[in-house]
Amino acid sequence: MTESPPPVETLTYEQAFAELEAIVAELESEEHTLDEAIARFERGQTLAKHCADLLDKAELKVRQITASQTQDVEEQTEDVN
Amino acid sequence: MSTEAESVILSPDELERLFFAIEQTCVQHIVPQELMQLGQLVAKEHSQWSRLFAERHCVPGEIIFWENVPGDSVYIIQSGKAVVVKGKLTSPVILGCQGSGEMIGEMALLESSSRSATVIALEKTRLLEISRENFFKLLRTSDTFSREIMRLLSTRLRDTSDAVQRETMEKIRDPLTGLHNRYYLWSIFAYELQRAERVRYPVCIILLDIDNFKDFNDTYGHPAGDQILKTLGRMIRLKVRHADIACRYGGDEFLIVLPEAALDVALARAETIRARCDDLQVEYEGQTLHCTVSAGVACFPDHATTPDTLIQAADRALYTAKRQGRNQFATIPDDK
Repeated sequence: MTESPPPVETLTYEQAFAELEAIVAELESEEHTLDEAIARFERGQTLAKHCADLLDKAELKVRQITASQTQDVEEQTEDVN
Repeated sequence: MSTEAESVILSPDELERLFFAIEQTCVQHIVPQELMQLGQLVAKEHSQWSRLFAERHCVPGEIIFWENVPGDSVYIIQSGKAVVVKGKLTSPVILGCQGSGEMIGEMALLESSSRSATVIALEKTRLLEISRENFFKLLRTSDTFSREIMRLLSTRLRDTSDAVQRETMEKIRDPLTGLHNRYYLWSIFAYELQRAERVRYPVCIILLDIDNFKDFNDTYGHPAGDQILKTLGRMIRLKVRHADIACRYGGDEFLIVLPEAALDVALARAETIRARCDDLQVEYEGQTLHCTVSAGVACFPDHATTPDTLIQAADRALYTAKRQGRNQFATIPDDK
């Protein structure tokens, strides 16, 4: 991975949270060197902090997170069209 | 030998108060399983790595390290007991106690941040102290150690991510109905309209209001009213598409945003919800409750082009529906 990731402060909540989730999944499933793991962890912590800051500042774009939360409900949804 | 800034020892009185505070708090063991194993692992292989450690002996009441001070060392408790606290020592928040085999202070090193809490020895405590440099050396020398640390990192990050998600849900959801709240609506509405403008598709909104809800509450009481709101919330959730945003807009007002929906689709949806509500019989404490709703439908960009004015348009349509006898929907007439 030669391309450096975008600065965290430029990300929307949705982007930051999606990246955080991806990092968590990656750390849980893939083998890393320690340095990589620490770097990913640090990036993850910064993303989480950014999400919390945006949440405080009400600058949210949180479709993705809520979509995944309501999935179980949606699965039982009758055909509404 | 200590690399932490200064050695401070609480007076017997202060220590007494601390014990009292610990007794008052149902202190849980805060150390995750991984960390405990890690401390034990390092302690077990102590002799192998002994050159990487220094020993530190603390007396009861001695501050091992302070909150908000940059971390320089990791400690493994060899014997004794310490308490982890946050905030002022005169009124501390007790986070937990740690004992033999447990590791403290590793996160500040891994995150290159300040200590997140103050740790105080509660009895005579013997610590193995590992400097930052040696900690990372140890991580690199021992596969087991580094694997454990990586496992710890991923657990921590998972917890953090879950916490962010939980806080977000709490902030954007109306607890009674399970729908989004007004706060969420405003955080997303302008963005939805901008997107619609860019991609040139319509966005409709449906503003729903329970008919004569005040009378309903007066007759059946507020808990019954809450039950109606809850049932209605659930019904609306089941009647909207995945892309729609359904919110509890006010006391008994609901607002549904339907991106990419033309007016006729939105009107049909409003009618479905109205009819379903009319069919609903809610059993509550031996009574059968029933209510009807009226709805106002407005469309972007035909009726308005900003969030505020679009809601005002829907509100006008809702007023028309109410005036025409309730239990029906209305929209803005074509000729304005």
